[in-house]
Amino acid sequence: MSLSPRRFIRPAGLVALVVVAWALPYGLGGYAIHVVDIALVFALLAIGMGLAMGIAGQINLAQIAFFGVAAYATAILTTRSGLGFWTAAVLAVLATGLIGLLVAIPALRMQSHYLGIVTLGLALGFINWTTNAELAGGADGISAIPVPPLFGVDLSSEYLYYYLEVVVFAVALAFGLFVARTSLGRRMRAMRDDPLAAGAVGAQIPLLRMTAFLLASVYGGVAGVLYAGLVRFVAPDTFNIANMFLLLAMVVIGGRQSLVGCVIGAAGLSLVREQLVDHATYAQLGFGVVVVGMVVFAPTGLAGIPARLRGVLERRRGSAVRATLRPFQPYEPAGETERDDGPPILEVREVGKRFRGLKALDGVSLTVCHGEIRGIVGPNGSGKTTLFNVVSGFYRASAGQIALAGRPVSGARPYRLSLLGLARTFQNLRLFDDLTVKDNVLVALDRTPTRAIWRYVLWPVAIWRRERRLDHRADELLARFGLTEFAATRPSSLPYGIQRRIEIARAMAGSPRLLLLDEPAAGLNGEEVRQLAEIVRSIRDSGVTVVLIEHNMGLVMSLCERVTVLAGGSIIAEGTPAEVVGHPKVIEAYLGDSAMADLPLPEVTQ
Amino acid sequence: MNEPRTVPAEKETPPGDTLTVEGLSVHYGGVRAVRSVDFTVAPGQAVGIIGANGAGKTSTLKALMGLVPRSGRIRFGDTDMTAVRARDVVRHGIGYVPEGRHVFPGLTVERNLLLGAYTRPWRSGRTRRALGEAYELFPVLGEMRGRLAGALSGGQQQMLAVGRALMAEPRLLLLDEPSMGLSPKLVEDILAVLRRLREEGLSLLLVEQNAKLTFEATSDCLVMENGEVVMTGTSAELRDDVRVRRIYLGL
Amino acid sequence: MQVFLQTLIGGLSLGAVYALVAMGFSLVYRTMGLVNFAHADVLMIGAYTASTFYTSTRLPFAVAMVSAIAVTGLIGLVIERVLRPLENKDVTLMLIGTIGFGMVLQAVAILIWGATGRAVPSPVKAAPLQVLGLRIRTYDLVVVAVAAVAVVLLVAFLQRTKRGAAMQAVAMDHEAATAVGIHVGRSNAIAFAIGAGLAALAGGLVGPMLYVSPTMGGTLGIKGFAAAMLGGCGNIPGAVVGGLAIGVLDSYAAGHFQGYSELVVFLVFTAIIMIRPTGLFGETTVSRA
Repeated sequence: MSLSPRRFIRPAGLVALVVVAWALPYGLGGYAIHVVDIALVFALLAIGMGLAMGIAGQINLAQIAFFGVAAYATAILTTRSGLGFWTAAVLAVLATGLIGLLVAIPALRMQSHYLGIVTLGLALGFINWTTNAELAGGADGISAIPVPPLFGVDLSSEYLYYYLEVVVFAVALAFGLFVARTSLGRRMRAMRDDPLAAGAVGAQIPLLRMTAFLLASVYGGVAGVLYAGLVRFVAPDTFNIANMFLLLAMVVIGGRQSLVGCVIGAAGLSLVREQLVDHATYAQLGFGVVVVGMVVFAPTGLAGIPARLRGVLERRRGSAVRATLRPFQPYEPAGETERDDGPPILEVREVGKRFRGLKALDGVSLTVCHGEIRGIVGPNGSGKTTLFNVVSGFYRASAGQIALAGRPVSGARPYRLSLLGLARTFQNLRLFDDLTVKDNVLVALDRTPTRAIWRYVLWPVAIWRRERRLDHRADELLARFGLTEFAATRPSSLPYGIQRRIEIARAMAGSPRLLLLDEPAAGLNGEEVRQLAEIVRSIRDSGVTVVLIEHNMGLVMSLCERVTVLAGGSIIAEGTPAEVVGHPKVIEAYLGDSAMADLPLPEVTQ
Repeated sequence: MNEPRTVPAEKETPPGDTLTVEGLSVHYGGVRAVRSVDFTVAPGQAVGIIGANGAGKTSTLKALMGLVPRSGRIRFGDTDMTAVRARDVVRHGIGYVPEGRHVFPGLTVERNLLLGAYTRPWRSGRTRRALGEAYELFPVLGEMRGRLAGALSGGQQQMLAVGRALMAEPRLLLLDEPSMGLSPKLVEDILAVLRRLREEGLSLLLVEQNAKLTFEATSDCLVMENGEVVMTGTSAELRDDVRVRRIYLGL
Repeated sequence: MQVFLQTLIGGLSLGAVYALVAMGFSLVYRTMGLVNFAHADVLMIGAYTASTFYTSTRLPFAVAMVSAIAVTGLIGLVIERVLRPLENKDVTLMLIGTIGFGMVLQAVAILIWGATGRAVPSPVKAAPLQVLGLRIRTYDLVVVAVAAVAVVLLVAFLQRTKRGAAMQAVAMDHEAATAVGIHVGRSNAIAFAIGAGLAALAGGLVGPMLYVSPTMGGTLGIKGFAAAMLGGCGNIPGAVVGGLAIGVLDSYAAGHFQGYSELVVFLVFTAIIMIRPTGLFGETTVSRA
């Protein structure tokens, strides 16, 4: 697939879409245009749902309530407070955004099904309010919402209203796609795939979750305002749980991870529902069956089917293009020892960690100097990974302090530590499996604090420019690690050795000062271990301090200047590899055999 | 239980229950964790597999248990084990002590042990006898029989995991890193238990990182690296092999 | 004081129903890690089946109830079988799948019984008891008693039988459970069927208290889920306490906030669950990401 036909197809497709959108009303009757208008409202709702659920992985069953809040707010502000339609509309969207942020608060504490139940409960609470509150007109709802004025255009005509909706929809979809395909969306998708790893590469999870709900609620709000202006009547029934589940069906059937899929699902199901309006029960039955079928057989929805077909075809053909791993290109060595006299890059003082009764770490103290390669060894279960988890902020230490380059960081969150220059890999590989290799790297390359997302609204051009810079740097980094040919591949389909290298590349993308590697050689073959040693040395030579947990003693001996030995949660020895290997305590605890110490030492292979 | 015995016994006396593994491979997605491994465990024999993390030891055991997709030939006595589902493996006399113990934490010690005898009626004399034997082998479990397994120490949980596997009265016991996270003293206790089981005629297949424990508990050993067997020999030979020492110094 | 106690008693019977819903939900969650959003609609089917058997075939209430439990148990088996490929994989997908089943069940109910609901006559005709000036409906006593028996039976099943122990073992470690010879799929299917049966029991009992309609599951189900979460998801005694707590909360909210009781209940529930995300009896392990 070369670029040139694509470059042509895209604008042509867009023009065709615009023409179709323009001409559509001419071919439709009065009722049909109403159906289309409603479908567009649902499509907007679905985009919001897709952003929160598909992209950010936040189960949001309150979307219909966001929709309702905005519709009711518009109705109340226009009919009860006598505000103009557009003033009311702006206030309604703001109110919905605020409600969205409130609903997001539980998401900071709980995820998946818990979140589903809480959001659904809050949605039920909202319906309960509308059916009872006098302000909301009770079960009768509110009618006589004024026609929105628009420079003399008569929006009481559903044909003309259609054009208003299409414009709003196009802007909303474009913004949604812009979010989904740039920094914010990438971080949200990373969070969806693996919140822990996303935190470790600098994504501020709580803020991202809030943003996901804010986006969902603003889309719900815009949809609600448009609905109020279109139907000019609101009643509790529109916002009930059945419609919430219908919306969910739209998103699941269309494909929740693709905004275009969500739109297609919403439009499609809206139209089907209208076709079956006299057989509503059968329609519901059908939707239910299709949803069940979809989750079992096509979890990625309609939007995911082309990719699945392509996958099947490629497997049939035996993956025609066989990508190869290129050699690693070493970093430029940094200027000789810029600062040896500064504070140690990592200082761990008397750190303890308990899990209920179990002491995983007990009084561990460790100082790693700038430019060192430090090995941490010890039997399985001796607390090595726990130490990494404490240092990188995944666990809060039960006792003791940690300082990064002289700065106390005890209890800091992983994303803070990441921005301070700490990067890590994981023993069991935590790559973002639904992101491409390049996106995996891009998430970590992106060093802007998450709070800079305000620019999406106020200065999108800056986002765009930064994307291009990041893209360029990602290409460089992939080339350095010899991964260029895998840029568009999903990591889970790649051999283990390559995945390990991707994880190191991702860690290095954040330009860390301190890199923690958790068993980087596990599962690698001899040649891959040799390459790994070369990579780690080059990383150190570029000025990054490396701490690695490793079982492969040959690697530790050849690579590390100093080795720390853990056993039973405490440090039992520290020194050069040769010193440590000869240490009787180490031999006892680690090799489990004092007799073996009498055997000749292995020659240290480079 | 329908036991899919594909090959009828041809000889009058079956050749004991030898575990024969030929060309065993394990794939996870695109990754080959175990590549064409061959070995046998004769009745009463104790065989060890040592190797680094990620070498494919655990995958090998899981493949024998049918817990992961596998290819190759696995025979136990007369049975083609590749046709046996994971939940039926225990019914053919193979017990399994998983890595990291994996006791049922929210159940009492006694419940854990009884679940080991899930394939038999719990009120039968045989089960009662097996329970008594387990408590005799691990007196500490008898003292704690009413406690929740999750409240036990690591060493006690390891004993419980072994005891649970023994409740099914297996002829072959697969052990995955019983020494993991245990103090040297407890490793000694494990070794004593393994020796006693051997004396009672049980076949053992022991996967370990602790070389000393493995060499002392077994008669023959395999060394795995990157999913392949790179060395085999008697435990005594391998114990003195400089290459083994070089690779596994500090497993 | 009088009002306080009267409200408390009023809340307990509905609370017992919530407890039954929560128990079924917890059992399935505990054994399969699956949040069954179709649970509420299974309850609704149970309510309809029981009331149909009871009112139209003139079967005794208890027999009608048992038939309803059998019917829903079967539905539970079907749901489990269809969603089995997703077990131990994607929680979100399974959750959406059960929502799909809920839609199907609701549609089926409308096709069979119509969209309008029905009132079910109380099977206990005795006059309310007067105890210390408090008015206690006899049917409420029946509900509480039946729920109590169900709790005892469920706990006994889990604690005393081999099958019950196996079911818990599967929940704790399905691989180790497989290795000792437990058929994990079958165990899950039975758990699902029992869960569905409990929903039917709740539905059958609640029929004479409320109005039976295709959408009755919604609020009942969500409150049952809330009860389960409040008690700590997967914790059976917790589900009972959570159910009673939600019932009493419900009753007070209805007394003090009239029409807004549901809003108040969900807000209070959300606040509590924010403070203790793992519920009152759950283990306090919160992932910090």
